[in-house]
Amino acid sequence: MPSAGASGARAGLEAAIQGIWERHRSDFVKGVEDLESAVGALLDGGLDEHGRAHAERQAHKLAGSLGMFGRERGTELARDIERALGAGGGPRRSDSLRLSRLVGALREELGDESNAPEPQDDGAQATDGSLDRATLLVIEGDGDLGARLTTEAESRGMRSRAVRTPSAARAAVAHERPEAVLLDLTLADDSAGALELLSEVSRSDPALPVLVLTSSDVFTDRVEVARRGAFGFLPRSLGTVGVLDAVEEALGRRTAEEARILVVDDDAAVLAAIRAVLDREGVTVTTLDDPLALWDVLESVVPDLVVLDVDMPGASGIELLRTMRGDGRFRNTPVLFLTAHTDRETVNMIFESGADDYVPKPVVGPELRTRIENRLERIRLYRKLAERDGLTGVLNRRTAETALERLLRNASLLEQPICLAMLDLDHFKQVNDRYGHAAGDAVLRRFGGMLLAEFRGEDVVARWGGEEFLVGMQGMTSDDGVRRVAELIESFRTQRFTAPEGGFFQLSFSAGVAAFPSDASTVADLYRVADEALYAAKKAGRSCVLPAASLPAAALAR
Amino acid sequence: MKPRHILIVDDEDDIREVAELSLESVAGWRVATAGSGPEGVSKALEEPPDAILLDVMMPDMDGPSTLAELQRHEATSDIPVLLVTAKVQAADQRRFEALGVAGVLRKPFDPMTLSDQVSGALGWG
Repeated sequence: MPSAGASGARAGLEAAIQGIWERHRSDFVKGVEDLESAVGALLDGGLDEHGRAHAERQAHKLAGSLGMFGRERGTELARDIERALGAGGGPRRSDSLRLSRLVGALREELGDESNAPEPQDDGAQATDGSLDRATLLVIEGDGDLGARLTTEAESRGMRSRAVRTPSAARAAVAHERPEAVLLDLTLADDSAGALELLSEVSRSDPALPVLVLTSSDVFTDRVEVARRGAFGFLPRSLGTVGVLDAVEEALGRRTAEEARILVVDDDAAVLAAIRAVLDREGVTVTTLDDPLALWDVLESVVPDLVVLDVDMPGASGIELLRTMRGDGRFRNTPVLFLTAHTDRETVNMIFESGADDYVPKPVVGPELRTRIENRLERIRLYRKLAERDGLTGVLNRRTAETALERLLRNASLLEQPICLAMLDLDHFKQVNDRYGHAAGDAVLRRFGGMLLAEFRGEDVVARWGGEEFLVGMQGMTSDDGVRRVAELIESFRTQRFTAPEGGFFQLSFSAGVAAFPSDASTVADLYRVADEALYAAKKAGRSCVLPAASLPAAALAR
Repeated sequence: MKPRHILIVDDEDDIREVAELSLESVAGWRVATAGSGPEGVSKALEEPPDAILLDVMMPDMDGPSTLAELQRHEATSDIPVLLVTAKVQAADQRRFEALGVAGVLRKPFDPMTLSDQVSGALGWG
């Protein structure tokens, strides 16, 4: 039989199986949703035997089905989930994070749920006719607050949209690519769903900052929320104006981390083409078609890189650059020229005027992108070198001090706690003495990496000096901080480091914790008190964390 | 030669549908399906198939109970049964094999090769 016939039959069977998949997909999604509910209940400490057995059955079914549709990874994930749910004595609360990761991955395997039609009555309200790009997505169960927040956002020139259900939120994130998300954790009485949503959204690629709305009358497990990647906490009591102020600040700071490129050309078509080539994640492009307005725009944008056309009516690019180089603020700003003339005379003039590079016109996308990338890479590197500790990648002390001041200022404006922890590796000198400095550096690097993985968003992670590190945690009380650090101590203790002569070694760290406003109200005092607590932890036998509140009053008064 | 006749007993709609499609279109077998143990037993009694694919985990009357029921009736006691299970532990596999079945198939199965697996387990050339 000709193989074409066989492969045709095979294709037909595949298409028919795909049809079966489509028909049953909603059942599989429902199964995953049941798993999500079970994980949520487990997190809340309320997964009973009935719920556990039901979830285990769902996982078992998914494991048995998904692979049949070519989704082998789905089967593996479901099997892992089934095993975790059925393990002796049932899953423990501490298994919930792992389970939630597995269930999240499983949901991904089922494909983009947002393709499914949204129910009309999902509470979605557009405050802008065009839904192609909402700047702020408000996910909030009580439609009233959502409406007020979107109105306030609109009045500030932000596009905004409010949704009430996790599924509507997923669809909005997928299709509208918001730049920030405000999430109410009490969403439609489904706090587990809201938590799962938080994990998904904050880990989406590109990452989205999620600000979590908290309420004094609802208990929020802030440690859990922070772990799931929340960018920061905002109390509802701030009101719409206060909340939007905080959102704008978060967005502004994010923009500040992006590379800003200013492109000046009198030809609008060239500007559009360049924007299309450069506009992407991590880059903000400003275009200007009037060279005479350059000065105003330079001052407001403060670009990291300027792209100038050589031939423009009114002012030549070369004259503009000479003026720029005469101003201290823009003396070192990298400038790249666009030119239709690449004769030696023009090229010489370009470099003599102080340009860094040039790109011949007509502009070819890949070449422009490559040249600009090279410049940006160097800029990012210099910035990083100035802010980060070279060995561990965490902030250096000088940058951290500024960041902590900002953290404290915001905390006091938003009436949120912050927690500061000083961490110090135990007997680190012995590591250097016994295994050499390379081994010591490896320990510091891994420790820094662990801290960066654990603390994200608004949190500050810095190397304070030697083997001493500092962490500033937004929205965390002293108890929260102690809990997080204690868990880190546990996990760090089990890590193995390879000794140069073979074998491995392990070590621990000690920590002291102080919080605003309970222990101190300035960065300097917080640092001092946390350091006292660290000293007490060392004296208490190391490998432990102590809160400032546990110290005798005399120690604090010093 | 008359095409083989297979009975699929599984409470999951999607699995029944895929297995039926696969055995019919790849191997050209005649397939009957049942969504529960009792339904499977009555269909097998009505028209004894050449083999039965029997799901292990079903509500109310599970695979092993259905198997016991089939073995109790003279008309169905000789029909070879393949248990189908998503349980992967070796202990489970051995327990199922000890029930007196022709074989155990693992879920999820590959629809392209399911008929080969069935033929292989039953020694059909």
